[in-house]
Amino acid sequence: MLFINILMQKSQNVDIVLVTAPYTEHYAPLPAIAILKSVAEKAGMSAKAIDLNQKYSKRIVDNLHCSQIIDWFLNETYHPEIENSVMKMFDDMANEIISHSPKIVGISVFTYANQIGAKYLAIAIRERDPTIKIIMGGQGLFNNVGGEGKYIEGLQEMKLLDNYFVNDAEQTFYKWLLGEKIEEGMHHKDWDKQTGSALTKMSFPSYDDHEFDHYREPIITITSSRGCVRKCKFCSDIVRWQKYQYRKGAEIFEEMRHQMKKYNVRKFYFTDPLINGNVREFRVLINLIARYNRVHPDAKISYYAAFIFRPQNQFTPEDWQVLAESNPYRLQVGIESLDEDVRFHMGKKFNQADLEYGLDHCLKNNIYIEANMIVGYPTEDQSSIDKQKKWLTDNTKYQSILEFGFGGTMMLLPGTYISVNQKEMGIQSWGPPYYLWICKKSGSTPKKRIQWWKELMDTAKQHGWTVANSVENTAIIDKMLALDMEQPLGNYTFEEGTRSVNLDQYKHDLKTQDSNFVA
Amino acid sequence: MTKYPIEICFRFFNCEHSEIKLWHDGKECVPKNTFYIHQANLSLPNLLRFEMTGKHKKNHDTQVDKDGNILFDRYIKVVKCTVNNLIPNQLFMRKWPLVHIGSNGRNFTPANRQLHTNYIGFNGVIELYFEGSSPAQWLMKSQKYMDQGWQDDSEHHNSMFVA
Repeated sequence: MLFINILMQKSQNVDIVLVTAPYTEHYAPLPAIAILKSVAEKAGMSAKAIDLNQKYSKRIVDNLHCSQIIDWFLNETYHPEIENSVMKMFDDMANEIISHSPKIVGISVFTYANQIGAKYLAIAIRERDPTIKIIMGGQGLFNNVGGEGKYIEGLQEMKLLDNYFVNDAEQTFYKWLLGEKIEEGMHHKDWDKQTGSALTKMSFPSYDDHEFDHYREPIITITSSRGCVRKCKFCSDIVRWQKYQYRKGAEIFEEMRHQMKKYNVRKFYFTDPLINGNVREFRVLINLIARYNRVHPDAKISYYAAFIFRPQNQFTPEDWQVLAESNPYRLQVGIESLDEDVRFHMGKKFNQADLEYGLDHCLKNNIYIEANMIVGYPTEDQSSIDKQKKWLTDNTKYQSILEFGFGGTMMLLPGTYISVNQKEMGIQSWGPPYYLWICKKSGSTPKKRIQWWKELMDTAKQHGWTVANSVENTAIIDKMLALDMEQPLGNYTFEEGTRSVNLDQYKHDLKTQDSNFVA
Repeated sequence: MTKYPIEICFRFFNCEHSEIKLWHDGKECVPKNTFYIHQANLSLPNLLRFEMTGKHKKNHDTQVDKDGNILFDRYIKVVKCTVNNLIPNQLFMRKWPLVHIGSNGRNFTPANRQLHTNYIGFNGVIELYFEGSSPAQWLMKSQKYMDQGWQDDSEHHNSMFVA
């Protein structure tokens, strides 16, 4: 009987299958498909959400050729040794989707790193059933962060994409499912993002289809805000979400209680670029959680969130204490550099005293911090690396509550302040890949940045710090290490259209006008 | 065996009033408005052969200056190819066709002089090899163009560029 139930569940037909496209390293459920499932059901349609990114991440990470697979997902680089396993992976994904006989498949393209995965998934679905409508959404659709992308044009030309959504698709997707004619939000890059009040009115995401066993631990994803209150010069999030929008603390807590009751999961993952953008609402939230935790000492809520360190007067010792009681099991903080001059240029608004004030309170209250670091910010040079090495040597007292992730060295992401103002900053770049740049003012080169990355990693490890690095960053570092640094950097650039078909060249060759000699 | 729709677009440059012709399976591929589009349903992997004939020095099909720079040329270019609607990168297209210079289509034997290019400036046989067992695999393999040494004919290139 159980077997029959499982079979029936597997072959359950639905109107829409919503999937995440691999690959991005993310240990909690990506929220888009859970939100859109809830929207689809509100529109009276049956929907199945499958977090393919998560489901296949183990197969990717455990593969002997993990770095090559990730390189393929990032750049579509051909590696013969991974061909069969990658093709098999997409066959399996498409077969699973088709087994639900959907009329529509929605693919969530979380970042540009998911573009290649989404393309091959669409190919596999089309080949099996060309009648299925394929729609896509997500900021990853755009080559230029926040702008139009050739990727979409290429997919449409290949007849792999029927519709796509830009920005917040919740409202538009709903209208589209109801058959309304949509202009805003679909195909319009300039469509306004949702307002804070619209964020509040959204239905709670549905995790009914999520198999929590596939994740490292049962965890629910939640969003309390979009955008950021800072304007860091390297950041692409603020290009996507130009206006900071937040939900009220009490409403966020209501969603947490709803999900706890429904799924019996008390661990949460906040997707926000920062959870404490609005300190007033953040205080409301942490007080509510802390109160709950006091009443339920054996069944506490805990959560993971991105957090910013602020000047000392903005977050009191009492606030830190309540924060601890709200039980964040880990807070991700963009410290980015241990040299305050570099941080100041970035737009980070906390100095060295603020940093140590924050860390002292974390130490006192046992709040664990995962520090995101950027190695090779354009103004960084050997002296700032030396300052950081000294800090790592002198401040080992924080080791019980602080770990570092040194990333894959500084990337010049399109649309960011630095990318837009590179000329003024003395930067010359050739990317993508976005690590191909030099800064004439500071003398920064990929070779130096790799060297600095090694120095910081080695110093941190030597002094007993916990250092984490994602497989994605490791793949980037591997790729950089393979560069012959004596060659001009322009030799390594991807020609336009590498990540997506550049139709401009084709259009040029297909123009019907007669030509004279064209070599 | 599954067959997939394949479309190859050839463009004839400056070929009016010349004897240049393109052939496939013994039939002439006649261009319309300078384009010839070859359509077929093929299983994968597969190989297609075309032949270009009729290019002559005496007809001034290629004109060069005293330094050997080409001033005018009549040629055919493989400008686009799709497999089940999938389009490879342009950079792949540039070096995908293999031209057997001087070979003929009826009694084909590989030529001593071969060139990977979509610019067909010589009489000879053009081989288009569709790798992989599915369109997805073909597309995946087409990314080989990123390897710097892929289809590198640079050793022979200079001596071969005059028709």
